[in-house]
Amino acid sequence: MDDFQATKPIYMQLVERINHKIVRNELRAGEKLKSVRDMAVESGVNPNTVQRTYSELERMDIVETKRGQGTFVTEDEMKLNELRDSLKNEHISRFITQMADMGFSKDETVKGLQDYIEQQEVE
Amino acid sequence: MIVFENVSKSYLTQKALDNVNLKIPNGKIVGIIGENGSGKSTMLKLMAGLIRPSKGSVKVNDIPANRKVSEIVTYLSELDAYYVMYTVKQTINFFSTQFKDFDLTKAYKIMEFMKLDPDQKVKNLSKGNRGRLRIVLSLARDVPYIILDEPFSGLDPMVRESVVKGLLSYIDLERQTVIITTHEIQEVEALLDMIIVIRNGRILDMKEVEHLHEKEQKSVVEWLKKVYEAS
Amino acid sequence: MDSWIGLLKKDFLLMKNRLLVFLLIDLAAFALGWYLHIREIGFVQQPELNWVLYDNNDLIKFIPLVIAIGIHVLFIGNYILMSLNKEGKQLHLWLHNPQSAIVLLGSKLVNGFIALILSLGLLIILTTINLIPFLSEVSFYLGDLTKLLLYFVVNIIFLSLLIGICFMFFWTIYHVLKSRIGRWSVLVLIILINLFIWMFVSLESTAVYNQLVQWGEYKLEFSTLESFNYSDGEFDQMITNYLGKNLFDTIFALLLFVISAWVIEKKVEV
Repeated sequence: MDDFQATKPIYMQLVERINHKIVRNELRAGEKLKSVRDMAVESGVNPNTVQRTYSELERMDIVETKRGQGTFVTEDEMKLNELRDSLKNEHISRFITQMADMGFSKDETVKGLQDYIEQQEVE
Repeated sequence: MIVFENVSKSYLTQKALDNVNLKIPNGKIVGIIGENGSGKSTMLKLMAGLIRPSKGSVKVNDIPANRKVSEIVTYLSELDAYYVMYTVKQTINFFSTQFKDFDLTKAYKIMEFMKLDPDQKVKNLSKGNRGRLRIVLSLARDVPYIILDEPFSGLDPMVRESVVKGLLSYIDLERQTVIITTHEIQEVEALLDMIIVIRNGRILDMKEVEHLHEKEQKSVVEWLKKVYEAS
Repeated sequence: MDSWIGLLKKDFLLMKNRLLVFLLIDLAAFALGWYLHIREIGFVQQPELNWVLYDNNDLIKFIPLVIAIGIHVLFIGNYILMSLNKEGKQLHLWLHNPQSAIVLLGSKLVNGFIALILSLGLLIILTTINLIPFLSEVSFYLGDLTKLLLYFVVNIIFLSLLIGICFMFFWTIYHVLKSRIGRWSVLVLIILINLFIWMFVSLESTAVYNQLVQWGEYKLEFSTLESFNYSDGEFDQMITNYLGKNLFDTIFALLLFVISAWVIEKKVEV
């Protein structure tokens, strides 16, 4: 059973988890998602919530439901790239905002980032 | 749908419910939350037709809830009661003779899922396993309403988890509605569609759990504190 | 049908151990008779024949058995109360069931009846065992003796059922009282029972009642038992009964049974 934050709808948290799995390629294009029930049992979440998660993903064109077969990750590479980009942008924007909040200038931030990555590569 | 209309219920010395008006929609998992003696169990017994309102009416699918309602309602009491002379399997078999909608194959499946030994005498079961058995009996019926009074109370975390998983594995919200009272609020937060707060026999509020997360950014516990303070 | 058999089986198993105890008591009555008999022989050297059939020492073997048979008028009542009290501790388990209260109570009654037959049957077998040595002596009376025993037993069964239903009725009343008036319920129940008995007794002494039930007279004759004359009086060779009275008792019992079921359906709370 999974833990969830209380301040965000659980269905949105599940959407994010599935999106991350897709971006990490743990779920590939065209791959079938778990059934609503299996997903509910695995994560200890109300099946109606899981259903809402899948509907939301469908609305975002990330998955599609085939009648009588289940829910599948879209095979539309463009959509998946969009998802990848949007997740990337989301994280970058959060990072930049936090840095700015702490009073770092843009240059400092970019420099810091470059230094950090270089150091990681050396190690 | 389960409808309470101006329902009051008095016992010998105290008023257990005070003018309750409530509509519980179908196809959801609904939690009733409140302190001890707030009237939770009374509400469930009314839905199961095991007690009668002093005032007002309780209807399940438009039918007044009397003893006959057990044809469409399965009720799990908070009391740890069973027929001591039976084994696990005999208990299941006895229930299957009493309820037309009891699915014996499903019962054995849930029994295995819950890792119960069919040949063990019920009186020799641990408390946790008796709790599991009661869940088997409740979920094996193909029944529109599943009413569970404190299904987690007194059970250790492992058993609680198996009860939650059992519940999620074997209910079908397209045809079934689950109503549950519990103290373990955090544990069921992700399980519930709706939550009803009751105090001193009065309904304080009724909310969609996801609505709390989305609009009020509160967990059920936080929200509960707020509702209690306001009352 | 399955639900009825399921209930019957459950109610039987619920009381299985108690039933075994009852059967052991029956055997104890048999043993007690023999114990008394053997003890007497030790004191009396030359048994004095003061009765046509047997001497006192032999008769004593039958006394505990006959008393045990007689006590069976309370058997079903006792059995049903024990069985209901087991359910009373966990009422929701018994009442969360789509079968009507008539069926739930009916299963208790039928089980009480079966248990009564088993226990009475055992006692009759034990009595017969004691009779075997005298069979040749009593062959002349055997027909009437059997008839008398049968009459005795049928009456006990009938009375036991009637009392059983009365007990059942008062059990349901007690459960209603308990949830309405709490600790006073025992007192109120005792008053109600006394009122009930008083009403019944007064009813039986009214002319209207007697007119109502005294029809369909039938007599049972035991002519060969004429020789059972003993010092205290004469054995009445004739027993007179009324079909009307039997019918009245039956209707009364059925009514009480239906009321009990109604009370459970509508008034008893978990």
